[in-house]
Amino acid sequence: MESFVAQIVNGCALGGIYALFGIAFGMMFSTLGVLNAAMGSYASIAAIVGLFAADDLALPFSLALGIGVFYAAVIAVLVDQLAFQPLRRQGGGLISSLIASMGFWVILDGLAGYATRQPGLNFPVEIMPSFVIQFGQVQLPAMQIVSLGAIVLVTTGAYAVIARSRFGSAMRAVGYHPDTAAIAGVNVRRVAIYTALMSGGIAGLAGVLAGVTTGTFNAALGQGLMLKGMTAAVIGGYADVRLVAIAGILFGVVEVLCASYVPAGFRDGFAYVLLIGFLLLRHRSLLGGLRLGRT
Amino acid sequence: MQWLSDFWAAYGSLAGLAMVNAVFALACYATLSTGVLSFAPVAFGAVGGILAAQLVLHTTIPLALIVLCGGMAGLGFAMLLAPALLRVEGHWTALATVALVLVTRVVVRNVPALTGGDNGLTVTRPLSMAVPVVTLLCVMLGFRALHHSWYGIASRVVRDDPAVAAGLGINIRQTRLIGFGVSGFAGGLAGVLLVLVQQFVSPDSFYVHVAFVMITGAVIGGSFHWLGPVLGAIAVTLLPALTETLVPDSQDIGSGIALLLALVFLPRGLFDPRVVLLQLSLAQATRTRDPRYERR
Amino acid sequence: MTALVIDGLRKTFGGVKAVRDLSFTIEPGSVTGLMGPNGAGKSTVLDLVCGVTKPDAGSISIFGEDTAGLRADQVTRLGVARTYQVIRLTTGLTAVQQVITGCYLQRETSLLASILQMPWARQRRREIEDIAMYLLDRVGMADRADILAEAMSYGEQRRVEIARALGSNPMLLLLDEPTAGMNVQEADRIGTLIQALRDDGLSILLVEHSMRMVADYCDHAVVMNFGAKITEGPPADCLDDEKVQDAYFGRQRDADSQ
Ligand SMILES: Nc1ncnc2c1ncn2[C@@H]1O[C@H](COP(=O)(O)OP(=O)(O)O)[C@@H](O)[C@H]1O
Ligand SMILES: [Mg+2]
Repeated sequence: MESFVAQIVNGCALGGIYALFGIAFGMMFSTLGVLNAAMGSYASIAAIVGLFAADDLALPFSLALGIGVFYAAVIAVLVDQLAFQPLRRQGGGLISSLIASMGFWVILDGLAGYATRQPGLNFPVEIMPSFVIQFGQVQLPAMQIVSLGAIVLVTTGAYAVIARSRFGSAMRAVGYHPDTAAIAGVNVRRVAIYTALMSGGIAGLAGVLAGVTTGTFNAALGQGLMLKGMTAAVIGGYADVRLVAIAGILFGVVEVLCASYVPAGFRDGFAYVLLIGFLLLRHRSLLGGLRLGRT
Repeated sequence: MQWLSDFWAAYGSLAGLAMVNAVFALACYATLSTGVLSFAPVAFGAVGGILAAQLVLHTTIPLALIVLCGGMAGLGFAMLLAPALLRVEGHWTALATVALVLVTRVVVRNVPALTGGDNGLTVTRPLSMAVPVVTLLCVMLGFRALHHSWYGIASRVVRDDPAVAAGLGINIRQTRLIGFGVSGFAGGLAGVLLVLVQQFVSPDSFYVHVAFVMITGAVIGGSFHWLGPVLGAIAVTLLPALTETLVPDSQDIGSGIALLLALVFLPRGLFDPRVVLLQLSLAQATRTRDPRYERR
Repeated sequence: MTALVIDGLRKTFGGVKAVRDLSFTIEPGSVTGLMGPNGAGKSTVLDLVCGVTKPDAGSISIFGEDTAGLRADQVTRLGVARTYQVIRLTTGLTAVQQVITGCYLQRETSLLASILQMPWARQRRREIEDIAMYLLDRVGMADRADILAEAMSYGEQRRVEIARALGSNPMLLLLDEPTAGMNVQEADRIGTLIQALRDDGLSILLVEHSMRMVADYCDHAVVMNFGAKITEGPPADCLDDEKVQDAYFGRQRDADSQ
């Protein structure tokens, strides 16, 4: 029984990381209409930079995490301004921005591979927070607490910004119809920059946490994260961060529980099949009843 | 003829790969020209290529027949998937096909009988240069015929404005299904060629990098005429070889940059028949009676 | 048989009642003018007739066939063709190529024969090219056949669009403000063309903002405002109708007096 509860908690922590990524991906799509294939690279880069900070600069974990997130956010803004902004101005649709993001995916992954050169990277164990909290029979290792805390904080924060703040209403206006929003006096470019900044930072957070949780990782870390995060976003219906968070966490739990029954090689396939299934069989999301796609 | 075999020995594999990629890019163009971005040709290629590998290893069927079988297998797979893929809106089709590429790899890795699992399979069958050359030429001729057919006419309208196409009596879904069929056949052929040219197949033969080369070729070369993807794919194959000599280990970074530059500065690609037509039209428009014209 | 019967048609776009309880018919071989101020719902009616958008309620039948449940391309096959208020020609095609796309339904060639360029397919293609040239000639654009449509003036593009619509050899032609942005001479040429087409037996629904065009070239007029029909009858009577005068000038008068 304890092991079952521990597995559930484990799944929640893992799913929380997927959910973080899903929120980042969904935010970019629902606001700016970009299906950003480069987002996985933001996560990889954040993990690698975080590792450099922790390893070579011997910074404490919290600082390393912050530096990784910061890097990812800056890169996200750069990519947005270099590639998506000119395409937005030309009125290129979703497809051209998707293709552009694939270009950046290759470039950033190439750079990340260039920077690391090693097949496997590890966060040094000594700097990791290593406490364990005992809940009755169940033990909560520190990293799981960090992941769970991160998803709760980010979900509440992002929800507060999008649904409650003035800036959030500008974001929603741009997501609904950029031209109309511009006519109504919204500074679309500013919204784009801040949205890219936030989503890049959240993707980076997911990347560092995934890097730590995975143990040994490489520059391809983001690719796997991206597919699972994207699946969470598709299932959760993009626009509402709370639903994406729930979908991501459920996805993590199901994955952990299935691990005992599904052969190891097929475990990733599970995510992809779920993604295709949701894309093809339902035009609406499971949780939200929102239409997939922008109005 | 000596220089020819020397050339083949030195650059044969690169030239062969360029031709393979050209066929892949055409397979991508086949759906793109009906307004559907799909990475499914990678999966069609996997079906064709793995079938070809098995046929080479276990039978003595002539190569031409193997190539054809691969194409037919790709076509069959495409027709199986297309109805489902076309149910969703455009950009979701693209995403679903990305996931399809990833699923394909998972399946191939876990069924060792197909490609020998992670280690891959060596496919030994001496290959004359004629096979990829002839296949590419046939595919190009096929695309040329399609371009001039009523299907080609319909697809141009469907891509430009589906609502207008429906208003002209064009069945959008049917047009796109045909596009998928063509894509499946060309993708299957490309898969066979890839296996034959590399004389090797593994789960990684048909993966995201093929999708990237395919779309980059079609975008850089231009996706408004069948010649564009061919030129683009050749450029994209040679580009890494070139940048590698300048910047070692640069991998696909050069292609990525070329893709971005093309998207922003050459949105219709290198080869665009419209540019020529526009020049002619503008010249003629100023010559004939009505000097008022507008550029879009 | 009646060319078009619209009965109790209704369409709402998220709160905006674009068309409400609209009913009218078009007699075969006549030109019906559909008038109304901007935003009255005229273009929406055309979209509904073509099956591009589906009505919330009401029925449409074209030459006796109910269009409920038909896709837009199936509706086109009943013999309907249209032009658009905002020109929607295909990018990158010359005038004659545009009209050939319009002839799609007249191709009479199987897919395979067309791809393999069988002799009869080539023969039919040449005939289609002749038809396209004839249609361009009809709209006065024959000398511009090989010019890219986007290099043409606005009025010329409109004429190419009409030729494209005629390509499918329709029995019911829907024209959405074909003279918008044209000067009086150009508009009159379109008017004359419309009457010539009617004399050939076509039934035409002419959406027009301009009262003059309706008065001069239509046999029958339907006037809409805020999605509903306000009156219907011979054009001259309609234009004199007080409600029509109000719809067109009333609001402006009110605004001026405020
Ligand atoms: N696709 C649509 N979505 C939302 N509203 C629409 C749409 N099409 C038309 N409308 C609204 O319906 C009303 C009628 O529009 P329209 O038919 O274009 O008028 P008209 O052609 O008579 O000028 C307008 O208020 C317009 O804003
Ligand atoms: Mg209108």
